Amino acid sequence: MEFKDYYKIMGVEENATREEIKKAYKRLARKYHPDVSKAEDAEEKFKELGEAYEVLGDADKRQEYDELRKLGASGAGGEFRPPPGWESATHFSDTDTGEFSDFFTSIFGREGGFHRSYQRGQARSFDMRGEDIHANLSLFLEEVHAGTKKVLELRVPVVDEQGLVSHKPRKLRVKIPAGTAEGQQLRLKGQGAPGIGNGGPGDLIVTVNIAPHPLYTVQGRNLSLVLPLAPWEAALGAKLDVPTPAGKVKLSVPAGTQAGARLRLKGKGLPGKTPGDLFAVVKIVMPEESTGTARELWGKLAEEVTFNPRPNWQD
Amino acid sequence: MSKTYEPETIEQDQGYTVQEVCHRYCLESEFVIKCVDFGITEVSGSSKAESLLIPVESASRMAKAWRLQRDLGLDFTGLAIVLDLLDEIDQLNGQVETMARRLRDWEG
Repeated sequence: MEFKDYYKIMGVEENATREEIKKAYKRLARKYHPDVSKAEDAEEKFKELGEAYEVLGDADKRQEYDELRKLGASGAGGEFRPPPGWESATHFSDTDTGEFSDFFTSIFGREGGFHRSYQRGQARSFDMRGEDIHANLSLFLEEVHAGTKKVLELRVPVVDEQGLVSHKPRKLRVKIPAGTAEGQQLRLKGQGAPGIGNGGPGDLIVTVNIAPHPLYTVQGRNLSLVLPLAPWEAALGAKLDVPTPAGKVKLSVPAGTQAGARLRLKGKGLPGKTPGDLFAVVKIVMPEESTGTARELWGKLAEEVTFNPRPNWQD
Repeated sequence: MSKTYEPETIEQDQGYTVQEVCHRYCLESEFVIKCVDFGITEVSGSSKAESLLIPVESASRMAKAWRLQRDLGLDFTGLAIVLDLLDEIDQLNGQVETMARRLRDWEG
């Protein structure tokens, strides 16, 4: 297994004092706490940090670790093995839930618990309802628009006879109703963590997130998309086919439409009790080059039409 | 895995009693009441603890508060400030993403 350099993880020297280690923990805990940090590996880093502090913050465990560092065999590729016959002298008394890395358990064994693991849960009494499990599910806009069935992959806490908690993978297929909005929470009753004693299981709460779409921007149940128009279309009006998640829809652009105008297609957003709307936001786009006849026509327009686009500028 | 589960949609105005929150999120009632006192969570219903209803969204917020207190040693005043700031950061990030998207669409 891979050797874990707890000193490197905590960013401290091997001769760091207890105070320095404590300060380092506090600083990094604030940085990596999964409720604060947006980094994808925050939870993993926080867990690693907690394990490192569990060892380096305790004089006895630190001493064992330091000895092992010197005596343990290291093979090619950083493979680590404790010396043959190694037995840890350090005992835990806490039975809080937690998961150790293989490296940690190879040195200190599996007994006891881990105080600073990022786990919900406290010491349980008997006959307690299981916790709710929370999961996030990212979907494409088309999937939430039409509704879909998705397989969720979860890690569900399982308590063994000794009261130790481990996590087992579990898959379940969930129907996502059409029109589920961004941030919407869905509850699957009884699919959460198992209860203790006669306590029933918790629920599974799924929060739906909608992945960014190349065309549409989502705001609640409303959608918006950019509607590029040629200058003459904006000036004269136009009848266009506008894409919506349910297919193309005819839109009449009124004559004299300004850039930035929001044209509403009622009910063409995400479905629901109150369906959302689709807003087509006008953007005037110029042709790349105006040569020949086109240039002549522009020139005539410039001569014939009195229009000041910059009324607020002083001469 | 042949079964397909049909979930129930959690509406914004749904709420949990204090007892339900404690069971679902493995929190102690004292902690929940303190969160109410410090404004960390919204409530509806009468002032009696047994009649309080806590919106589902607020319940998640309280679980976050508990983790922050456990892991970072924050007191309740600190928790209230930190949670408000985290919410504001999320909101601002959302606005920045929307504006960046609009800018890309306009410039594109």
